[in-house]
Amino acid sequence: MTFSLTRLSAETNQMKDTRSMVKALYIYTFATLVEWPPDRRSGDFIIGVYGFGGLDVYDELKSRYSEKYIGSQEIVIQNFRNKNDINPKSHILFVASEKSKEIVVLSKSMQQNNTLLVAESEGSLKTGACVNFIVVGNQQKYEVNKRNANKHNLVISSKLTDLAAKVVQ
Amino acid sequence: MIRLKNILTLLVICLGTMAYGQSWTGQAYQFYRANDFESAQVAIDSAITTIERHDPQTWQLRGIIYRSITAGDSLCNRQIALESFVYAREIDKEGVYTDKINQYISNTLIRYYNNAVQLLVEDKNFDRSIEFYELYKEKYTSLLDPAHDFDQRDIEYYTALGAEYQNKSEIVPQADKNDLRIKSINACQKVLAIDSMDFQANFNSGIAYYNMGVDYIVAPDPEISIEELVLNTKRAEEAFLKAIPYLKRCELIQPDHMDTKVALMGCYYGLNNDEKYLKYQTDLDKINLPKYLKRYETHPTDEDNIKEIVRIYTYTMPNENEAEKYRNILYDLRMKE
Repeated sequence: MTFSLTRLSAETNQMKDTRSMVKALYIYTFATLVEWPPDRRSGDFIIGVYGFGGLDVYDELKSRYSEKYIGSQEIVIQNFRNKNDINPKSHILFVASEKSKEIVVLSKSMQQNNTLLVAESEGSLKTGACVNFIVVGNQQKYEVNKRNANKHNLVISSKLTDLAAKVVQ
Repeated sequence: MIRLKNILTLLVICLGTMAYGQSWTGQAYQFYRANDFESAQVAIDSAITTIERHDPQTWQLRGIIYRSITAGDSLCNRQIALESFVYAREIDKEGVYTDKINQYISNTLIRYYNNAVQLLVEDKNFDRSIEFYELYKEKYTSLLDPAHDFDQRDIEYYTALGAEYQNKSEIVPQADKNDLRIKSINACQKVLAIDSMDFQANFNSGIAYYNMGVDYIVAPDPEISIEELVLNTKRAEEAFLKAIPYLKRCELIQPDHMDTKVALMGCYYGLNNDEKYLKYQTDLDKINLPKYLKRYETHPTDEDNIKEIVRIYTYTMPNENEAEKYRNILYDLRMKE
């Protein structure tokens, strides 16, 4: 008698939203590589996500970083549907692509709050974002506008700029 | 004349006693039939120390008896059985028993294959399973048929081996996953070397690379350094790119295979190739949207389901009114939390 081998097949990982995961991981590393003014280094560390298109990034951030810390500051993840909902105390604000037209206004309004504006739309560095996600080849990368960051009184570490796809001084 | 008659009578008696089981071989046979293998073993080993050792049937019986002994070292007994059959064939100068003996050898050799299968499927002892499978092939070619074609067996065995490695990779700690996936891919390569269009081997290879790519993104410690993150996105890209040729071949072989489409879609999504990603996503969404809408009716608080509906109405089958409707539903649900 011969034992038979059924032709077992491998199981597919369910389709995972790898793009949102990568963005969430990057946003966390930005938090560790940007220096905020002394008066923003206490209390909660707020990472805000603005726009429905950022909901998956928000969910990733929430599942990975809620109750974790940046230095001594506890990370709090918030999602804002409307501009009026945006927490002005946000240390980082990720602006989903469908809200990219509002970056010009947001850049001005969030400047005094030292918010690191992170976008995901082409040309966003020109309209006021400090960091912008871009695709280079097949990979998710980011570009940095140091001038915009300076306007927000933020110091971006050399490590962050060294690994950026593009840096605007 | 009387003397000759006595001699002939003696010969007839002798032959008669041999035929009716009074020889060592005959006794061994009786014990064997009574399932007393221990006594059968003693008798047959005695037989080969006598003149009976020149009889091919004695050696055939020895092989059968040793093959049946379950006590002690069964592999050693199996080896003795095979040696006995081979010797029986050697001394069967006229080739009277050749076919029968070869059948015995074949039936004995298949036990190595069965061991390989059992070790693979039940015991999950993959290294030992491979040893047995190789042993089966080696002995088959040396004892039975030097030109035997193992292609079909290889395809079956290595496909199953590849899938078992892959399945195990899903349950081991993260650090051990890729090692098993590489082993899975290597097993599939053996199949593809025989038949490059084997669906299962292509699919399992593609999935192994796809899962590898996903894990480079999903699995790292959340407090990952930026250097490691950059490296991982590069590794993920390489893995997704490696997965695609295998999955494309699957698509050629089985154009409607849903898991292939999902994996290809995942690869292109991970590679930020929107044009190709949206092609697959749209095809799947056309099939899945009615299911999502139906699920919404029965599970109105399933947020992931609603997110899918919004995504579809926003990107692949645009309908701004519907998208806004479900967006509002989702936000309302979240507000309640």
